[in-house]
Amino acid sequence: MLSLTDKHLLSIYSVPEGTTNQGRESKQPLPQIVEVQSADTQPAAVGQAPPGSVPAWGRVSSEGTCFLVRSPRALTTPASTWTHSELPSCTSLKLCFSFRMSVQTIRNVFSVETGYRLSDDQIVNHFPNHYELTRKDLMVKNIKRYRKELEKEGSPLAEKDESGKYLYLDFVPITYMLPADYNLFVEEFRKSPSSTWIMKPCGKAQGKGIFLINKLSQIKKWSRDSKTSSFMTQSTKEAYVISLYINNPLLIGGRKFDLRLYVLVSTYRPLRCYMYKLGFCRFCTVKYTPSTSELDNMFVHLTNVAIQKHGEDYNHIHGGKWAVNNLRLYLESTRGREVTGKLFDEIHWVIVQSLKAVAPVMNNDKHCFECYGYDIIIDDKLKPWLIEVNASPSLTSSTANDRILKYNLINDTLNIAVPNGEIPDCKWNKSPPKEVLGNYEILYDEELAQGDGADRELRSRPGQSLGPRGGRSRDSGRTVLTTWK
Amino acid sequence: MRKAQGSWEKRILKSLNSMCTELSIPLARKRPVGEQKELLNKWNEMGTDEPVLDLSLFRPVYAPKDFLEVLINLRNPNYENGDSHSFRTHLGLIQVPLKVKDIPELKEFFVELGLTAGQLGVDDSTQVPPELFENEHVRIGQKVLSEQDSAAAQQYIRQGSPTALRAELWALILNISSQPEDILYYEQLKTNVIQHDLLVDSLIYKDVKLTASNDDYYFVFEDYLYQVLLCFSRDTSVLGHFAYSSASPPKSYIRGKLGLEEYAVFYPPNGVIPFHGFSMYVAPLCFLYHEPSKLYQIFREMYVRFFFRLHSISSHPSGIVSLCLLFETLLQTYLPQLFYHLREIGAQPLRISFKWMVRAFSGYLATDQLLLLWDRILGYNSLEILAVLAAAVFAFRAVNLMEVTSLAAAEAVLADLSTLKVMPLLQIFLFATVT
Repeated sequence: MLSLTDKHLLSIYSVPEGTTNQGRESKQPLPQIVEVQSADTQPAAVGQAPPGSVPAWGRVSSEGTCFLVRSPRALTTPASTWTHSELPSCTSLKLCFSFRMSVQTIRNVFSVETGYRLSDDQIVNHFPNHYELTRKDLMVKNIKRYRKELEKEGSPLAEKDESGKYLYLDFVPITYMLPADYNLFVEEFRKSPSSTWIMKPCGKAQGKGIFLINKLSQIKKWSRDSKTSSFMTQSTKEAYVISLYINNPLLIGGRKFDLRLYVLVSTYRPLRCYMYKLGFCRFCTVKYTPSTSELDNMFVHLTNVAIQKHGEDYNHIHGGKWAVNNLRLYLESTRGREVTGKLFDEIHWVIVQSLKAVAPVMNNDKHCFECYGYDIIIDDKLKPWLIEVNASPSLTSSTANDRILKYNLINDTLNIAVPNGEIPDCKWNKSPPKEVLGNYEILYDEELAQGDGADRELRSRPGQSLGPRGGRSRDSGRTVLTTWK
Repeated sequence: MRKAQGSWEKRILKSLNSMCTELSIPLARKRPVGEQKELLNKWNEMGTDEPVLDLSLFRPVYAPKDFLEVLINLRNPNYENGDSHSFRTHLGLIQVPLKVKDIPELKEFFVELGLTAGQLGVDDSTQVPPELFENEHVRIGQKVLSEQDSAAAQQYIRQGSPTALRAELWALILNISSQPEDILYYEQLKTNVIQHDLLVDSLIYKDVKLTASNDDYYFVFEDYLYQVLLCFSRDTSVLGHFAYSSASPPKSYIRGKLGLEEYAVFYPPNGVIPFHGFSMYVAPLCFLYHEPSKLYQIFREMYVRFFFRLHSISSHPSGIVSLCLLFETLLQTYLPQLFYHLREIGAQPLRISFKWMVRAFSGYLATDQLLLLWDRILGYNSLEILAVLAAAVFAFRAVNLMEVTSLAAAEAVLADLSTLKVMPLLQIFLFATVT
């Protein structure tokens, strides 16, 4: 089994031409994942390379060294045939031949026009229509649809309380699309005019374009009836979502934070997903205040590292990142075990429900797997809220620890997605053996859940398993809900 | 010992005074009203605003390695090593023949850590079904708390404390019970901080910024550290511990009245001058207590019971000198090859482990492991476990250490302790090593 430890990658990095990899030590420090300069490199891998992709590990430069590549932007690699023999000494490492794609290039692969078909031994790291989950507006749409479906079916999951709020499926803050739902939004806004709302552009990331509002006048532009709309057509107005701002986040040390959790999905039908144990909290550098005078201060409200790293008090050693295990220890010590266990169970529940919501509409191409970055905020009542799901979570690192984490993340992801480090066959059953999970643990396995509901290998112990949620009623007939495998 | 402590104190004070004169900053001054208001406003976020003075001008008064040099040079003038064969062959740095426990005595002392008893930190791992030990242990812990039995708590915690019960158990053992007068006392200290500015405040800021602010586990609690430590330095009740310490608080005289006892004041008011890394004594407690006055009380009690012994020269079995000697003796007796090898390459083991023990391993171990270790400090009312753990760490990494050829390489092998699990290490060293 190929396990890409430090040693392996180091040897990849310093392969001189013609030498073998046996027993050679590299003294080079582990370099940052770099972008490939496509011009002076020779691609070398088996099979036809999909347009715009690069092999995850097998790119060999003329100097005889391999580079890991970041997602390429519009690389115009000719779809040349790569032969096995063009790979020098790297072949002895049995590199795996999955292809790393960006969200742009995946469109090319799966678009009808290019007529490209992935062969059986090629797998890619995005689902064709991942945007059903990762675009803010579509995610909300799919969750709303999912809830309505469950309600129609009479499922106990869709149970509501006296005020009409879902008991188990209320994990996304009230959200509207703008400009489409503008009037609906205004109605809701007027119900509690002192509330704060957060405007987010649908297609952007890293906190770009986000701002907070507490007055209708601040979003005049998106009003369907507004006079300005006569100057632009509806289609040129950028799509935004507006959500109720969670103005009572759980604070630690007086600062707001959110959770970044990594979730790997190997297949949607049956749903099989894994949660990375080493998630982290991203802290703001400035003390939190809900005061309206600070609504414009992004350092108070937005936890994205891309934003915080420009703050005065940003620290490059820890980067404001705090391991989720620390959060767990802190909450257990100060709030007790039951409420902490309940919180983490709810977080797992939220993630699984979001995946179930999009599973029916996902193109469950067997060549695909995907590692999502889930952003979750916990409020001061210890309720988790799903903020968004990222298809391309940042794999660059802001600190030394971060680099180790991301490195292990990629390693573990590939070990699960591509078994044994051998040339993949997309027809495999996508059930990796327990030993390769690394820092992942099974979050939900629909097949196992439907099959053997009584089989509990993972302990029901907080922090070490994803045990059943306590204290909620469940329909015992639907075994898919009663276990967490 | 007292003489040595006395001269060490003189050195510290000299350093402090010279820094004071160099920078022309008074040891203490009353804050102008405007500044007082400002400080009150930013009391909860002192971490983000830079203090008035430029911190780069300040140096910590001393670092653990300076202290180690002093300890190495301790000699007993009455002692003639002529006839004592065993001590003459002592290869370590400490040259003071204090009585320390050997492994059989330690096994007896730490009997609850033995292999036949359940432990948190060992028997609560995923592979062990909780019915075997953990559930029952938690139940007993809850009973101890409901009975509010401090002695029982101390006995109980020798096998480790469940995370959820730890905060209350420690409070019970340390006899902290957040009464209204305690909260009032803390508020009074806070007022003192607001009204007067002390030179040691800058030392505290600097220390926090250098250590806890950069720590992956503790940076989140930076502001709490200022709140606790600034108040601590004004707390004259801490002076009480000098009655059983070999140290004495530094004295200062009102200007112009040098030598006149009626004009002597202790400086800082609590008599404790912080050194580099001092804030790490407080940092782990922030995981347990988020209410400042309770956090303060717990820290103060931990300091006057335990931590003060780690930076003063005394013959107490939990004093740092004894801990160093215990560590060296354990290593030399049970890992002689390793000890000899390290000594030959100029890497005396104490030079590496000293900083761990002075800080009670804070900042070196992962927090959950550190808390399990401190559980046992409270349970056994002794710091000797720090020396045992230090020796156990060396034993664990002995294979790698035998291969190094320089002090720097030895440091590198022992640089990262964050993956260690302390209880298994201690158990193996004390109870499972063939001697």
